[in-house]
Amino acid sequence: MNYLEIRNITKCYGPIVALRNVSFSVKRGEYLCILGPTGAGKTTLLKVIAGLLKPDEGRIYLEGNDITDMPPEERGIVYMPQGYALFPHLTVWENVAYSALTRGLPTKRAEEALKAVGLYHRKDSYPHELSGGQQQRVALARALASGSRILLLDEPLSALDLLLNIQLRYELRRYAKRLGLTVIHVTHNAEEAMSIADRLLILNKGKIEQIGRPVEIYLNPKNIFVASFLSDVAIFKGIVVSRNANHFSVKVKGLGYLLVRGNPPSSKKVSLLIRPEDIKLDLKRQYRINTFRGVLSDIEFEGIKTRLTLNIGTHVIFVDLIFCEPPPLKLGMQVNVYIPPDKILVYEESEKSILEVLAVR
Amino acid sequence: MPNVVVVNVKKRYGEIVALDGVNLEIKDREYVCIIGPSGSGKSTLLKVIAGILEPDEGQVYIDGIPVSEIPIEERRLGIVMQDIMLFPHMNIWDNVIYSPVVKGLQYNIVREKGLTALSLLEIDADLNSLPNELSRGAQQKVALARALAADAKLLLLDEPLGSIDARTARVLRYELRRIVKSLGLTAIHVTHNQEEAMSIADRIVIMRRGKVEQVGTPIELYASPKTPFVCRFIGGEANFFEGTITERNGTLATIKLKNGTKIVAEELRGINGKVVVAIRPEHISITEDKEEMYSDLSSENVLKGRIIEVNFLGSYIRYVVDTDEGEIIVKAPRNAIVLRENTPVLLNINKAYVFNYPEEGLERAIAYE
Repeated sequence: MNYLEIRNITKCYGPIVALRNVSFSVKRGEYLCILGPTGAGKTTLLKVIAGLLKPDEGRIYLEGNDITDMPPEERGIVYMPQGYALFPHLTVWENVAYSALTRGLPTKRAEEALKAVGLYHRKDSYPHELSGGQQQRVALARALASGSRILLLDEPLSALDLLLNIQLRYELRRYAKRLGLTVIHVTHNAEEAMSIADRLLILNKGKIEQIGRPVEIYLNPKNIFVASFLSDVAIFKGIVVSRNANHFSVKVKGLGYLLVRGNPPSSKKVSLLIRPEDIKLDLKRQYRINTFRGVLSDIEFEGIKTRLTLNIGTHVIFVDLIFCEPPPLKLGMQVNVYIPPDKILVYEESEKSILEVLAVR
Repeated sequence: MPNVVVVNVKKRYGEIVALDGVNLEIKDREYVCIIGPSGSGKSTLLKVIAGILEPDEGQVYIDGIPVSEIPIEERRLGIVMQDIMLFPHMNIWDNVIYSPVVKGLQYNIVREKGLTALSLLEIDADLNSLPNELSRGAQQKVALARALAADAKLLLLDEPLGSIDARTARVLRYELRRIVKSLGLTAIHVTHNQEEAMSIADRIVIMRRGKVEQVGTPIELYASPKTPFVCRFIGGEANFFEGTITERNGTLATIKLKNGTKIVAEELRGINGKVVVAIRPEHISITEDKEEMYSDLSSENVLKGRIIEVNFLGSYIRYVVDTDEGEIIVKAPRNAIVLRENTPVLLNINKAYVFNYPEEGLERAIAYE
């Protein structure tokens, strides 16, 4: 039996359809991340589950019981909205232990939660004495300490510096796992979502695009939207011109011919996608097929990876060099790259333009 | 165009020392990012450079002239802040041409300056719209266009992308750099976002507690951090250990960690006794310990452990490994084999940074806030 089940939820705001027949289920103790662009319906979905919004259609079940009409406070679900609404006149400790203190329950959990977010030493401070990042962590601790078994977190890390985001996201997951909490965590940050989710749900324009383990979705994205939301893929549109046993050849305007491993789809028009880390530099020109020459227009060193921006004909693509010292490259120089035929993702080209598919604001 | 020299600048706010003897040289046409945790003094430094704040001690020179002696209208500064300061009642066009109009330039010159600035930033919004009708990203572009139309040669940017959504900010940061480079401007850009700084700066200034901790190109800071703080701040998720140098052999030194692991490192001039060892997750290789081969771990730069967490990050995998020396973060490229939780593994350390043990203790030395 599914722990939490969302069945055929539709929610409209006037003429705008915020959620369109959304169904999925969550297992007990699972960490689910909902990923999508602004306006995808992420917050609406959380609010519907929390009971703060009534769906127009569909039902929600918790352990088999229909909770669709149950008031929010009876669901045992805590919802942490974006932004951190702490009580300004209460100390950090009083904020975190609020529900325990008001109900006369033990505060051990509040203490643990505050320690987990690294702010136990600030327990007597007031919110305004803390930085934005620290306030966010206090709000998180309060949600963790609430005693609810299900946590709904709306962009809990988005206000934080990158370093704190990275540190806190793993702590958050760990803490949830240790306490056996079920978490639905909404974010627009693909890396954040992939790195901590047991499963990922990709939401776009009120519809589920794909749901699955991060590695599955990343390696086998169902469509161009999902692929380009998770990675800065290069997209080449072209026409299948020939095929043999296990390869086919695609003519791409402004690029040339690309050999692709596998069988072509039924349509002649295809979109070919390739992830930045799958494109190889070919400085010694050792490959004979699928090599292209471009002009290096940007080099971005990020430590673990170096991102190159290449202009090949009319195309601009990213090449990521992972885990290697950046080779001696200069802006404006000509560089050869190799696109491995087995690393290319193939999609039938839809009638919509790519910009429309990617309508990510 | 200008160069900027900051000499021994100190600034106090009551008890708080915001700048504690800052020295800095910024070259003509350079794109410099100042980064540091909140409260490290980066915004104060920018204000002192702009001449908005007077330092208690020291001096700032723009092209060799003390900034306090340059009349404000001749400083040719463009200041762009996180809070976008457009005139709310003026339309986009009037905002952009504000400075040339106030200077009383002829309208054909005003018009040309305005149009040039708008085209440089590729602003295609309706020029009759008011600022609040535009997205934050578009508003910030207008603020930049206004600075360019004012003939700014030195751009001072305080978290210019701070209030803009991440995707737009990523695009805008390249435009910023492109404009600065193509017009031959000098830019000083304060940010708390390491990634932003790494991707656009010629050089990065790392501030900490009112002082300059280190200055260098992104690669220099990553490859040769001078302090544990820089090592933690640039690159991310480095593993830190306490240890003691037990042996020296030419340029090599052996360091013993708390629980006996031996690390051999090179070129440790001036480093003695108790030390801090920092190891980046990408400088550790991880292999499955199939037969639990190393029952006796006497070899150097090798650790045994068990995977307790696996995180997928797209182009690479992050592992948390439980070892004798505590939890260690390892990052490995995505390839066919992804190791699972509970797998016994061997970690080979390919590179370690060694620092003298800081007086304030390790925890404080790498504290971020």
